[in-house]
Amino acid sequence: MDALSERWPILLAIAVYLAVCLAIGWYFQKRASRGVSDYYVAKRQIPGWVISLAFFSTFASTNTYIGQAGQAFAAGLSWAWVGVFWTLFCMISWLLLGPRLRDQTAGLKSVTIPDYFDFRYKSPLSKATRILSAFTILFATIWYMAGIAKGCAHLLESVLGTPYAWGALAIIGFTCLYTVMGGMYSVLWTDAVQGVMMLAVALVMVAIPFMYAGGISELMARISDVSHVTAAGAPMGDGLVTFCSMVSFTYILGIGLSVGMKQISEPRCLVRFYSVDNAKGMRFAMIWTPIFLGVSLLCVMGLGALVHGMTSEQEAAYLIQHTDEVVGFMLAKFDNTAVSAICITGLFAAGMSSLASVMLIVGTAAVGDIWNVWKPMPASKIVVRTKAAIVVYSGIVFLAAVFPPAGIVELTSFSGAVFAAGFFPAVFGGLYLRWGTGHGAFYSMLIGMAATIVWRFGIRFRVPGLRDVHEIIPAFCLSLLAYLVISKLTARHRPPEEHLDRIF
Amino acid sequence: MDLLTSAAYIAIVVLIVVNTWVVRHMKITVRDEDEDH
Repeated sequence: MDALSERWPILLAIAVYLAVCLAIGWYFQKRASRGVSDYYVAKRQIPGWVISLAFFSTFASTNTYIGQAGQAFAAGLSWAWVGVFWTLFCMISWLLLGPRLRDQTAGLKSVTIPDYFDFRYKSPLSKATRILSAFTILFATIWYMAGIAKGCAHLLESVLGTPYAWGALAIIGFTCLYTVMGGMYSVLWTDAVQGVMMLAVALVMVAIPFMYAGGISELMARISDVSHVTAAGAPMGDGLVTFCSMVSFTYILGIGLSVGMKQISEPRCLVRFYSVDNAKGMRFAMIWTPIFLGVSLLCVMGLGALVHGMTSEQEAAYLIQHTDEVVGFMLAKFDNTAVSAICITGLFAAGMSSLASVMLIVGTAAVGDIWNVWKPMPASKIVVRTKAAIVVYSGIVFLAAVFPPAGIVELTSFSGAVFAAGFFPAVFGGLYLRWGTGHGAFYSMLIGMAATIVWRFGIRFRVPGLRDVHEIIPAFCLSLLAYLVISKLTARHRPPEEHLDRIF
Repeated sequence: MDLLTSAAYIAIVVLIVVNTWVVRHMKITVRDEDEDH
């Protein structure tokens, strides 16, 4: 009873938030069931400000707010450089891909990324590219989804004492429910609500260490020369505020690229462009999405370094080995129930927004791009079967979250590299290069994925000096080169000129 | 905080400003599903 009286603000905030998400799903239930275009891309009629917030909340997740924020505890304020790369790729995504992808997919009546490859390239390998990319989505995203569910379930366990498995079931179950009900409509509108919450939480979280220390100059004085030790046991001294003294810039570059490039390659981000309603909405989103992301990263990416100003030497020695616990520690140390309630609800929002987006992408890939290609079905059955596929896949994700394989965090980061190396050349070439061919798209996808696997498991950790070179760098370069060379060599497989005229 | 570390925070702000300027000067068109080029 005592525990309940202490935690009621947290429970209330979570309950209100979940009720809002379910209400949105319920509201859009009827509209989403009208047809494939409604369920998959919300009929391309969503305002720019909703898409903008949805893109931001889909890309940033609990991994950003807990994992990356905590990472700065070990890496220092230099970790903010990761945020520079992420903001840069957000800009690139909206400037280079957004308007063109919206334009071409509307002309081609494409509703998923795999069917864009099929309709755009119109070659003997188009269907194979579509199915290959759909299977990649199914296999690569399961670890990402399980990782997010795992993070949220641990949070529920530590804050409310909920058993881990029940927490995972609740997170996956609620997200699945509103996604199934309202399709892309509910995913985008709940994402927008979650985006607002995430921005607010980023601002609140960064204020906590300053309030605890008693001001800006007090906190900066505390962290500019600390007696804490690094993970290797060396004294930190002024390392928290000195450029790359605790982490190499190559490592920062690897994380900056491998995660940041998700914005230019992962279907959960790219499919956001499909639903923008008009040019005014597109312009709004192009300006404001980097602002939403940039401001939240300014707050979050150096947070762990600031938390040193709240820790004793013993606490720092523990946290340096468990950086995922830094944010939870900060909230516990600040000890304000209202602040904890706001932050924890925002952290759930960060997890659920990414989870819902991926759930829908997986359902559309399984039914629209694999089942329907293998055995075409009437349009009326596609939506119903997509809903069923989302429920079945959510069950598999639950099992993966309850019985996670070793190194699930590594698998999540690896799957991001698979998308960037496999999907980007085919998307970019499809949008800008008239001479890009289906063969170029298919083989660059295969080569990109193979290079990611070979570098990761065969070279990176076996060859001295290459440990910090993330697989994204060689795999991306190789895949892009393969697309250009193979497209030139297979020019006879280019789609007919009238088809290209309609697209470009 | 040394210069190169603070440069990260400045760079994010600069990127946002540059992006806003570029988008304001861009011509953006979005077509409907039934509309041909």
